[in-house]
Amino acid sequence: MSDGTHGIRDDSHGIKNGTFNDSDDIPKQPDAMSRAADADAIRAAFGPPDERDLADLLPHGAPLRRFVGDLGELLDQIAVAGLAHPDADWAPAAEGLIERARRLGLGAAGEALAGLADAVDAARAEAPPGVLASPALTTAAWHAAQRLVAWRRLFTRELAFQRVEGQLAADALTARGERPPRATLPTASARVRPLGLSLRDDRLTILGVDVDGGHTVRVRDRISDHDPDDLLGKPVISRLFQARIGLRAVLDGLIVFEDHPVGRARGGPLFAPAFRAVPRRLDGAFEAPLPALPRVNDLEDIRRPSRCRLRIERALAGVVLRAADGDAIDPDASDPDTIDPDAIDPHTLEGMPALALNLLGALLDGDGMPQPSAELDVVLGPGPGAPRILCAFDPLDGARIFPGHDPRALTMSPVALYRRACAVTGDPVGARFLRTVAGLFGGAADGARATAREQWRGPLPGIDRLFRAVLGGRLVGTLSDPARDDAVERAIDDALLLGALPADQIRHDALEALLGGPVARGAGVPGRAICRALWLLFTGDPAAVAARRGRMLTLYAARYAEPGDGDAHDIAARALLLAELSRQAAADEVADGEAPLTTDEILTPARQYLDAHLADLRPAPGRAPAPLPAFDGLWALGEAHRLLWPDASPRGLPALGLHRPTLAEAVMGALLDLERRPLRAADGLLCAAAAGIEDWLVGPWTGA
Amino acid sequence: MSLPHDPAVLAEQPKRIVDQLGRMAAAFDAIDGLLHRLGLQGLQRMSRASVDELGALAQTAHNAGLITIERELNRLTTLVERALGRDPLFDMHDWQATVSRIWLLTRRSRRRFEGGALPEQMRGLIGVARRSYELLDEALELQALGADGWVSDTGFVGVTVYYVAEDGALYQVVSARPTLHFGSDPTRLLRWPAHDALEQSLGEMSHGAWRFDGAKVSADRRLSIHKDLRLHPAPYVGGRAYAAVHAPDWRTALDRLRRTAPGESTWVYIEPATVSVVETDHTRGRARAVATDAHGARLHIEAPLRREKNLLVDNLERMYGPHREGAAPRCDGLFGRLDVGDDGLRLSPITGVWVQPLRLARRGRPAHHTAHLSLESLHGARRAG
Repeated sequence: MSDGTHGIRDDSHGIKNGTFNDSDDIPKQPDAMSRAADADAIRAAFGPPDERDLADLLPHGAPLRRFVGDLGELLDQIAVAGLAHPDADWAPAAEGLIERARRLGLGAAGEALAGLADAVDAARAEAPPGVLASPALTTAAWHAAQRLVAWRRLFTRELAFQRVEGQLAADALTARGERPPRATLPTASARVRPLGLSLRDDRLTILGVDVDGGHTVRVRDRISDHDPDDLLGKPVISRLFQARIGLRAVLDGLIVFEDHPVGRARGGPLFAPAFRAVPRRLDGAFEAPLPALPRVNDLEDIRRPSRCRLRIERALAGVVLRAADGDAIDPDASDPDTIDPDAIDPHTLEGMPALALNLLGALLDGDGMPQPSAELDVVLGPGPGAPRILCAFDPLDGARIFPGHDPRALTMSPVALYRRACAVTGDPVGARFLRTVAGLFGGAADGARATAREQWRGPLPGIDRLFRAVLGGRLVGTLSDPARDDAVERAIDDALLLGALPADQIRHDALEALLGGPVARGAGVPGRAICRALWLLFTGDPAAVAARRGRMLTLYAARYAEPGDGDAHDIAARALLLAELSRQAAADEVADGEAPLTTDEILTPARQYLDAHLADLRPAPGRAPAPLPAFDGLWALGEAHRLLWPDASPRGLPALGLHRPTLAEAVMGALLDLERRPLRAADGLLCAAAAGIEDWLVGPWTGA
Repeated sequence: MSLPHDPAVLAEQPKRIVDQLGRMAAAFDAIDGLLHRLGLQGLQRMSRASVDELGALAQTAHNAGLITIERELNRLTTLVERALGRDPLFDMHDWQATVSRIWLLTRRSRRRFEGGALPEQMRGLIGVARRSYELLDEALELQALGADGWVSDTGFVGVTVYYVAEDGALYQVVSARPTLHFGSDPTRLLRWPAHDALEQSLGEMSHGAWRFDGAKVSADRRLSIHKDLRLHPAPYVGGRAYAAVHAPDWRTALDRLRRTAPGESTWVYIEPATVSVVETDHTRGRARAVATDAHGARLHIEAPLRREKNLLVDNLERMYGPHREGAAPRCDGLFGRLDVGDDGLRLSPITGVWVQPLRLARRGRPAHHTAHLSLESLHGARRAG
C-alpha cells in the first residue's frame, strides 16, 4: 500500500554466486534516502553480481526459474507455519532443493539452505513439541531464514530483468512486423507574416499573410502574464511558442510553421497551440517586407487584409474616423439613427484598448502641434461587426505601428512638448508650472532646470499659487525659501481656520487673501484649498502637524463630520483629517495606559473611507467606469493614498486601479489643448507620471 | 544502559541525543526480538495481539528516531491485518520483502550504532521524522507531469503532484489530510487550495506549468507548500516535458528501470501502439491490460483493486474497455511508475496524456492535455476542438 512517500520497495539486485558472505564490512553510506540502504545492505552482505555469473545462469533458464520459485514456496511455507513449527514435509522439501541447488551450481544457495535446514532441525531436536528451543538455536534459524530470503530477493530481481529481456525479444520476433504510427492530426507548413493581433481575455489571434501563397492565415494563441492594456510592453507567456516572447518582435518578423497541426477558420488555415509542434520565429531585427495588399476606399465588407487611408478628426467626445475618401462618421453620436453602420468606434472595438489614445496622438504634426484632422495609412482586417485596424504606418517616418495595442505608438516628442510649453502666454503661474513639468521629460533647453528653480523662488499670493510654487520647486529641486515658507505657514493656518467657518461668517478680505484673488460674496472655502493646505502641512515639517491638531479637529467637526458628497479634493481632505484624528486618539489612549495600536489599525477608518470612494473610479465587469475627476483632484486622491499607505507597493495613483487607457486619452486630450489650458495639461502630465504611463504620451528623450 | 560510543564524544552531545542513543539500543533489541518471535510462531499463529505488538514496536522505533524502520513496521502491521482478514490484497511476497527489509535495516543500523555513529551520521539510513527544506534563491519553473491520489496506512489521504524542471529533475508536491476529519476520498483534495495563502487549487496546480516563487525544497525534491510561496503561470512546453522520462519502446523502459538508483521509483512516459481490454483479477486484487509497443513487445498496465483506486480502474475501462459506463477517448500516452513483476514489465499509470486537449464533463473546467486517472473522471470527456 502506497503512502505517497514511496516506502522502501523490493529493489534487490543480482547476487554473485559462490560468495554468499554475511560480511561485517560497513558499506559506504548512501546519500540522503534511507531507502537506498536496502539494496546497498544486501549487496554489501552478499556481493554484487557480474556478467559472468549471469551468463552462466542463462542456459539453465527454466530449471533455474523453477528452483527459485520452489525456494520461494519453501520460504513462504516456513514463514506461515513458523520456524518453530515447520510442516512435516518441510525438511524433505528442503533436502530436495539443496540437491537441486548443487546440480544447478548454486553452491552458495545450497549451503545457505543446508544451514537453514540444520538450524531448524537443531531447534526442533532440542525442544519437545510445544516448547520453544533455546534462543541461541532459534535465533540462528531466524537469521539463516532471513539471509536466504534476502538472497532470493536479489536473485529474483535480476532473474526477472533477464526474463523480461528475453520476453521482449520473443515478442518482437512473433509480432507481425512493426505497427504503423497512430493517425495524427492534419498538419501543414507555412511562413506567416503577421499583420496585426487582437486579444479577448487570454485568447490572442494574429492575422497574417502566407508569404508564399498570399492567402490570409490565422494564428491562435493563449497567453498569460500579460498586461491587456499594454500588450507589447513586456514579454508574455505564449502557449503557442511554449516560451516567454515579446509580441512586438513576433509581429515584426516571420512565424514559421513546420508540420504543425492545422485547422480551418473563415476559409483559411488556422494554426493553434500544439502539444509537440512549436513554430519558429524569425523576429527582432529581421524586418520582412509586407506582402502586397489590396487597397480599399471604404470600410464596408472587409473580408481580407486590405490597406486603407483613414481620416481622423477631433470631435467633442474624442476622435472621429472615416475613410479618407468617404463620408464623415461620428461613432460617438448618442442618437442611434445617425450612427453610420460602417463607423469604427475605437472605444468599442474588442481587443484594441490603445486605439483611441493613438488616434489622438496622430493629430500631432511633425512639430508636435495639434491639427484638426490627420490621415493615417492602415491595414484593415475583418472583424465582428466592424473592421479591425491591424496595423498602421507612422505618418512621420512610415514605420509600422500597432495603434490598437501599443499605447506608445504615437506620442508627442519631449522637445515639442517643451517648446509648446514655453510658448504659452496668459496665466503666468500656469505657464510657469507647465514649463516646469514639461522640462522634466528631457526635451528642455540647457539651463531650463536652473531657470525653473529661480522662477519658483519668492512669495506667490494665495494658497493655490503657493501650492504650485512648492510642488514646482520640489519637482526641480529648489532650495527652501524662508519668505515663501512663512507665507505657506500663514496660508495653512488661514485655510484651517476659515475652512471651519460657515460661509456667512468668513471675512471677505481674508478669503480673497487666502485664495489669492477676487471671490464672490458669500462664498466659502473650496475643498481644493483645504486639500492643498493639508498636503502642504503633511508633506512639510512633522512638528508643524502636531501644532495644528486642534485646528484640524475643529475643521473636521465643522466641515467633514458627516460624510456627505464632495468633490475629489473634499474626499482627499476628509481622509487625511480622519487619519490624523485617529493618530491623535490612539496617542491619547496610550497616554491613558491602553495598549498601543499598529499603524494599520490606526489608519483603517481613513483607508476604508478613501477606498470606498476610489472603488467608483475602478473599472468593473458590466459597468462603465465613472468619469474621471479633474486631473488636480485625481492627483490629490493619489497623494492621499500615498500618505495613508506609506508602506504599500504600489501606492499613490498606480494603486487606485484606474483604467489607464482612459486616463491616457484624457491626458492626451489635455496636451492637444495645452495652449488654452496649461495648468490642466501640466496636471494631466503629473497624473500620467504618477500612474507610470508618461511614456504613453511623451516619447523618449533621444538627446537630439 | 552503557552505550558503545566514545565517552568523550558522548560528553559533547546534548542530553536529547544521548537519550536517543539509549532508546535506539533498546529499540534494536525489541525489533529483533519481536520479529524473531513472529518468525518462530509463523503467520498462521498471528492474532490481533500481534497487530498491537507491531504497532507498539513502531512507536518504539519512532521514539528512537528509527523512522525508516518505523514505516516498514507500519507496513507490516497492515499486512498482518490483511492476513487476519483474509484480504485478497494480502501478498506473501510483500510480507517476506517487508520483513526482510526490516531485518536488513536493523542489522545495518545496529552495526553503525555499535561502530559509534551518532544519529546525525546515520540519517540516510534511519530517516527523519520531518523533512527539512531549503529556501531557493531563485524561482523554480516546473511543469506538471501527473498526479496520484492515495490513502496511507497511518490514516492520511493525500494527493501527490509530480513536476519536471527544465533540467529533467523530478519534483513533488504533496497535500495530505487526516482521514479522520477529511474522509478517504483523495479526489476532494483537488478542489481545495494546497495552502490558505495560495490562490490556486491543487487541481489547478496539477495541470500546466508554474513558477514557484519562494520555493523551499527538501533533499528528495519535495516542495514545501508554505505561506510565503507564490505561484505564477510559466511557459507550458507540452510534450517536451515528458522527454526526460519518455520510453519509446519497452526495451528502453527496461533499461531505464535497470539504471534507476536503488530506492528510487522509475517514472516513465509511454505511448503504446495497442492496449488490450482491461481484465479484472479479484483473486490477485488487480486490474490489468496488455500494452504493446511498436515492435510488439508487451507490458502490463496494472491497477490495484483498492477503494481509492476505483476511479483509476473505471477510467482504464472507459478508455480500453469493457465500456460499462460509456467510452472515453483513449489517451495517447501514459505516465506512471514502472516495475518488473512475476510476468514481465508492469506500469502503474497515474496520468493519461492526450495530444489533442481533453475537456472533462465537469463544468467550468478548461481543456487540458492531461487527466489524472485516479482523481479525475473520464466519464463524458471529449476532445476539445
